[in-house]
Amino acid sequence: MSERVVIIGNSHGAVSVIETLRREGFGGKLALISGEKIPPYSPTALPYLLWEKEKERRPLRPAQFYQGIDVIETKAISIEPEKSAILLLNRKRIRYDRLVIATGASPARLPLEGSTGSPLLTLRKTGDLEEIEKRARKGTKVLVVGAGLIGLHLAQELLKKQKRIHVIELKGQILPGLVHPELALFLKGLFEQKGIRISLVASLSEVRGSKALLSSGEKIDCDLILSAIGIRPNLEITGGTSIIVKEGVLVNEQMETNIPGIYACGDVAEYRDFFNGESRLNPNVVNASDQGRIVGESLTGKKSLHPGLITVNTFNCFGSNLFSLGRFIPDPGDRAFEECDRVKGFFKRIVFTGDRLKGMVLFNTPVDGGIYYRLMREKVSLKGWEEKILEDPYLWGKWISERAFKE
Amino acid sequence: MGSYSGIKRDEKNCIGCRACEVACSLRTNTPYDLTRSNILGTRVQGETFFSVCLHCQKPDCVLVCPVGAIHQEGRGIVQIDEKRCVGCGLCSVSCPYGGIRFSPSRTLKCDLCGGQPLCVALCPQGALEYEGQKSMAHQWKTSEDLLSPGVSSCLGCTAELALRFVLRTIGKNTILAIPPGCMGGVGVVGYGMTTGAKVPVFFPLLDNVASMLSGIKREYARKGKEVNVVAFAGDGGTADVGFQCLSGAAERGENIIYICYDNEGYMNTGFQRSGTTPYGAWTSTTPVGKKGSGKKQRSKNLPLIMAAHEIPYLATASMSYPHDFERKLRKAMLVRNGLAYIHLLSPCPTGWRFPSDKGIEIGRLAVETNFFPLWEMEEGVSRFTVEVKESKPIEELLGKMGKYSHLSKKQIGEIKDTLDRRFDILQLLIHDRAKP
Repeated sequence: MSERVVIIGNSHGAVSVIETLRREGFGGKLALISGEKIPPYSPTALPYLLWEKEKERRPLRPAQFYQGIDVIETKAISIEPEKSAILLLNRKRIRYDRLVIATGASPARLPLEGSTGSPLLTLRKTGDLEEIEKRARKGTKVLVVGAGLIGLHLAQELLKKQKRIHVIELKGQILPGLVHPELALFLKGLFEQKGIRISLVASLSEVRGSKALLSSGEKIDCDLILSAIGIRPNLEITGGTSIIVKEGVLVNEQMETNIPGIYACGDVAEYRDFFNGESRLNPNVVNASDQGRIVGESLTGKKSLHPGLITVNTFNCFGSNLFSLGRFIPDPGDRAFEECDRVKGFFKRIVFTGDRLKGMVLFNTPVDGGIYYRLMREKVSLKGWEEKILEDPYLWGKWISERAFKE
Repeated sequence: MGSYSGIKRDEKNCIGCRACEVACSLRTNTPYDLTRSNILGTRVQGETFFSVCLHCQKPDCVLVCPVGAIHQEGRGIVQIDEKRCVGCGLCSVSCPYGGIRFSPSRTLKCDLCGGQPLCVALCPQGALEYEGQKSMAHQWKTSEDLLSPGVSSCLGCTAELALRFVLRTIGKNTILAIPPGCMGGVGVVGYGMTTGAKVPVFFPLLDNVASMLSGIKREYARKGKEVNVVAFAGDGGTADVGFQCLSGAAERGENIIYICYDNEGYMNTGFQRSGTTPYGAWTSTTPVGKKGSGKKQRSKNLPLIMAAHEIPYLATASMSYPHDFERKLRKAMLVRNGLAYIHLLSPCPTGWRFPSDKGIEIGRLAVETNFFPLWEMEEGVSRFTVEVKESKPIEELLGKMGKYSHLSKKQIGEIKDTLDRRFDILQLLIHDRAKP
């Protein structure tokens, strides 16, 4: 009997596992438990698909991708490691030899006790998108809770339909964790120039009818409230098992949990940070794909080790590109190189610890992000290159990388 | 990265001249713009430096794409489907080799020009290679020029340039027919006992080019010899005097390559009008003065006439797009089941009255204004080989030449209408045939 690998979940982590297994010539059987219908949609792509008429053109992967896989379109309820089985919603059991938990995450919800108004909408699934479109068509005033990637992306998309948008953010800057405060302030200015109102250090306390009450006491009239305040890993499946869970499912360097043969990857997995070794989540697509690839390689007997979590992301801000990598707030002893021009509208900040790259934020500056991601992961010494990288990250990144990784 | 199937560079031969960057930015066939290049081939700190998408066997970009827009084709080409791409830039962040360029809302990378990379073709050092394909430009430098130096064509003649290019491309295993016309007149067919080419060349009559070649091809075929039998004839010898025998050879399915260098008139005998002289053009027999205002009739649309013969291969070409022309010549050489016809627009500095250094520029403008669209028809399937995304106004082309300097607004309008109508027909042909 050939081995059976079961994957729970069907988003970036799972897709990356499947693709890697195929590439590595995995010979066993593959089953996929997908809560979403085939083909699935990527949460990252959803804001781009707002107002798009032919959404079905852009699934995460087309239906053909799943050929040859035993796809079970239902929800998994719990894992029974002692029986090597998974209990499904329809009370059936499915047996596995090895298991991959790639259940992803769900939007965090605001606890709004006593609220009687319209429900807060979140964006994670295609159904959410249709709901937002439906409601947005009816009204013009939109309140967005959370000035992170999703919140601000949605704000930009809604602006295209001339909505009046108000974004509130709990923290003291927009895009927290993605840019440093100076750039955040500049970007906030960009959004405000375009007519999007942004309130910082603000939260939503109550919704009554079409009125939202902010923590500042201000009452806002709104037809639609979008909540984009972060995500929570989908951990229900691990309940009642001995799989160690902190914030997420704890994994080792090969993405294996404390139970041999059970792996986890993506938004649901918790692993150590690249810089300080502290265990944390790292919910983003690049990370999910990386981890999925390592799971796939582990399953086929390759010994690839994850070097640690690095936060990396991109953001399109009214046509200008933002690239954020690693830790860009310098700790004592680190060296920060910085250049910005508020008139031309570009920002560069690069942080080194010792002779290695620690963080990078570039706005409106051409760069191959992946090159620096690699230079960081592989701990390449960049001694003597600092000024050059600051001057032209695009050319020198390629040049340094070519020399560092030759043969 | 393991093995990869992208473009390979020979470090020893590369001189960092950036020709590959120019080539890459010319892919979309607009004036070159290095910021649009997907390739880097330059000098950094005194050393040559080359970087382009590797087309990895196990690409990370494919894993990360949130809309499944990146895929690997059978031949290992990693391709971004522009229609699906939402421009999030995550692939650029996941690629460890800097292979994907990200400019807001668009991700750009090497697509190997669909298997015929232009950078490889234009590398003057022959330092780039793709699946065994070497540089055409390098070949130009190292291949033998099979046409005699010192033929007496006018300064800036694009037909001579084209003939040299044709012979370098198709090589020595060729028999060439040059009927009366410019190339005959300038000495390619020779004076006295010597000829002007290093391949067998002969001088048929204007009205029997294709017939003579048919016989030659058949005789070689009977002896079991493969040889390229090629006509290099002007528009008079093709569209007017020689048309009946060309039409007959096409209909009989003679396996010859027929190249018409169209300079829109009988140029070697004093610029008389021909069947392909466009409406409004000045020639010595359609003079401009008190009564005359250039040619009163429209030109024959010869490529479409040949398309109606349903020959296995037909193309339009221009020396302003040498890579495109080269590919068409190679395709024509592979045809075994009938006639291959190439209609080459050949701007004539003397007869069209423009400075002798402007031939290539005018050829390019002719394509960019849709005056002379580059397309091909292969076994009944037609396509544009150079897509003009936004065509330039025709005045830009007409204004460059003396032969149109007299045109009235009405005449320009007439030219525009003709071009639009012909382009519409072409589009119909191309889109109809594109259906499976």
